[in-house]
Amino acid sequence: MKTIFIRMLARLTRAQGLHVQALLFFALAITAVVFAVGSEPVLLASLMPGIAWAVLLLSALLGLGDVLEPDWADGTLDDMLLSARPLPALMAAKMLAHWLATGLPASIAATLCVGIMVPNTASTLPALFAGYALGSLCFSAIGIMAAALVLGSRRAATLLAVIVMPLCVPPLIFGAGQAASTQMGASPEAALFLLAAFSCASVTLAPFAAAAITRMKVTTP
Amino acid sequence: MIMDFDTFVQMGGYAFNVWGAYGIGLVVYGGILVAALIKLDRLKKQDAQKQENKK
Amino acid sequence: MKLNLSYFANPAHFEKLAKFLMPVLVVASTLLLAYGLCDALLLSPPDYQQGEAVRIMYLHVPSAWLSMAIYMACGIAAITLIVWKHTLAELFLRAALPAGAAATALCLLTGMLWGKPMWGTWWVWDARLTSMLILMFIYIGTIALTDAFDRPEQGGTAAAWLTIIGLINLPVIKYSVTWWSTLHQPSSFGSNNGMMKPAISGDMLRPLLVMGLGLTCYAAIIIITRLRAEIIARRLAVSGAK
Repeated sequence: MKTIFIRMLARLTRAQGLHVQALLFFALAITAVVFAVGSEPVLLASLMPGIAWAVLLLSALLGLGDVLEPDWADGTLDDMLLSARPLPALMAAKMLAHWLATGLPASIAATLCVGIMVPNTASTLPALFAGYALGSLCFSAIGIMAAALVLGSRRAATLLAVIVMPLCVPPLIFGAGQAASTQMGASPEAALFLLAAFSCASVTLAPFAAAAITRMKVTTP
Repeated sequence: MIMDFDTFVQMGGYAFNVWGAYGIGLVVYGGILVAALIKLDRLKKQDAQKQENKK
Repeated sequence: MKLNLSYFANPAHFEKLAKFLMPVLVVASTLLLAYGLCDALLLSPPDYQQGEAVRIMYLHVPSAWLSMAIYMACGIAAITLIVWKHTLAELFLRAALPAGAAATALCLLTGMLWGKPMWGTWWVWDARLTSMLILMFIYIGTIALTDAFDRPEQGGTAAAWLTIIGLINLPVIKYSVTWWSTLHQPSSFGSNNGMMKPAISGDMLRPLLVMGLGLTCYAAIIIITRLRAEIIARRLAVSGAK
């Protein structure tokens, strides 16, 4: 288990630039949206939790190219297949590393955005953060499956985006629903429950799927 | 109770929508079949050509 | 050598099946579509609320059925490819996915043409249309994946995996979109929700089923033709590589 953790940490240190990039991207994207829709406070207050969810999804696409592609290119993936360590565990480590580098910082930024721009939300921020964090974890899970799918393809970056977005619709909807009902003062439990269910399923299944796909790609000549 | 010709063409004012929809249907469904048949024909010729070259 | 033999054996069996099925399908689809179109455009009654515009339903709903049914079939082919590695399953995937995409596109386009007179706008984010839009994106992404690799077998396998993932996700997506639309549906749409689903009387069910069956046979013709083409293309590619 320790080796997996060390490997994850190694992934993280390589992605050291990535979490700064993710925060920067998040801030820039939110700013772009504000420029586009106008800075009227009431409008922004009603839209901000949802906009934050959309930008969170886009932030998840960052760094997916770095999760598996470099290992495929330099042959580390072949070594991973041969190692005694189960491949799904390695995939899970990569998935968590990607989330820690992109999803988690972006979730913090999203919660802050809502806290700053939407009045009277201080008490709901922890619940909102939980939603954003769970959602971005789902995005990372789906992301690692998609990254495995596009290994060795041409135009991998665009393909990755096209594949990931439709599959991320359920956590996006459930998460944004939770944010909206939290904002309206209604109970967010239904949406949070659906989001939690989806994240349990995706986080547990994605590493196995990614491992099976990668194994098939590496072993078939 | 077959409707009269006028209603058939005008579709009760919805002519653009109804005939547009069926027109697009014809183009898309018809087009994909035609494309498939052309592709099959071309490949069969290519295959026959190859068999000839082998002999 | 064994792999080669099994590859060529399957297509031979398929070719025999196709030779038998094609005439049956051509006759069936011609008859069904001819009667179906007459029924849809002429014989069936106009709707009480929607008037003649309801006739679009006879193209829109079967296309929706077709798009889902083809995706299911692709799912089965995908599982066959991953588990048993039959090349024919991969070729089926390449043959059927574009047909499914066409059906989905048609469902969306006819939905827009149907929606404009009913709701006043070209596009409405109701549950069914939005789910179809997501399915369209999934189809496009999967087709793009098949052609993104230097070796076609890699593309086929990747697409198979994506199809399986998509198949598992599809009910979840459909559920989430339905849930989402109930949250955001303005109350004025509540009564109009029935617009996409007029009460089905026998007079309306008949053309719907006939068009459904006719289009299914027609889609089978398209897929079998494309599959024959894919088989030849793969055989040429394999022998050309030697």
